[in-house]
Amino acid sequence: MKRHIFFDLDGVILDSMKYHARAWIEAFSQLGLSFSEEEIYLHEGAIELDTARTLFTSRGVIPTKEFFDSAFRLQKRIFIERFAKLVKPYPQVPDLLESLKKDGRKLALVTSSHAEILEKVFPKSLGKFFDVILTGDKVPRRKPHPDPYLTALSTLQADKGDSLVVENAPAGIKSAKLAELFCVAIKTTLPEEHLRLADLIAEDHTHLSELLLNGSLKRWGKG
Amino acid sequence: MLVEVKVKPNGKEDRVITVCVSKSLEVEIRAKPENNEANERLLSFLAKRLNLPKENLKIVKGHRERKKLIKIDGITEEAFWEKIKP
Repeated sequence: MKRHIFFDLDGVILDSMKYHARAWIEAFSQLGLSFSEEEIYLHEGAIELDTARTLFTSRGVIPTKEFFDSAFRLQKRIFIERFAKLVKPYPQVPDLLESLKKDGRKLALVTSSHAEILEKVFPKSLGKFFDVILTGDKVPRRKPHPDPYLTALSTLQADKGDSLVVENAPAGIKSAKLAELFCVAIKTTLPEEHLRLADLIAEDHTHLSELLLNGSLKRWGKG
Repeated sequence: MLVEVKVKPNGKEDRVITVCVSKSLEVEIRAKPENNEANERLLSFLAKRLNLPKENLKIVKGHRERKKLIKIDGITEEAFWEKIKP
């Protein structure tokens, strides 16, 4: 049983990815680019100039910093104005977090979202469950770099072997594995083929709760 | 960087068999899949091939499976794929 559990926010705690994706699609559309929701999901947490370059080059655009900055500002404005109020936690999440705390686990929220976005979407009632909340603006490099999870580890003074990450997207899984952490991926936004670098796949939040609360990870042969 | 490696133990030699378009490798290793022998030899083989210290390579998933995920420090993805070609 792992004592420290690090949760991603969007697509894991909050049912928010479809709104982030719609805001990105609309922002890019205003800049003359068209993307599908799946393309955005594949880059969740990593829509940045250095890590999402292929997203743009696939449309024949060599992105400049100015282009990317304007897309980022536009997406943030569209998300806050139109979609933030629609974001809710997945229904099973409050009970899961409460049960984990009662079980004495230490929890961290590790998101690439900026503090300004977190303020708009994250329910205050869930804040009490987390010992650490790390936003993308508090680390030198965001996911898929290992920095967010390495920072969470050192802040909680946790051992790698006693820690587990819950993610839903390739960038977050890569970040967790580069930090040498055990990673459970949940299939909220993408099919299994995109989550294969994770150590375990949870079908949904019911399965995730079973794994984290009742299931020895060894039952699935992963130690 | 992270790379997926499918290992074929009990081989006649250490060699890269294929580099897949999905950016993964198949590697033959002249060691048994026992007592961590094949894992250690795999890391030594890749380190030598990449001209990196063995400490820069670590298996982060699949210690007891044929399919492994290896973390490699000190090399760019571009340089890795260039050096690893069979």
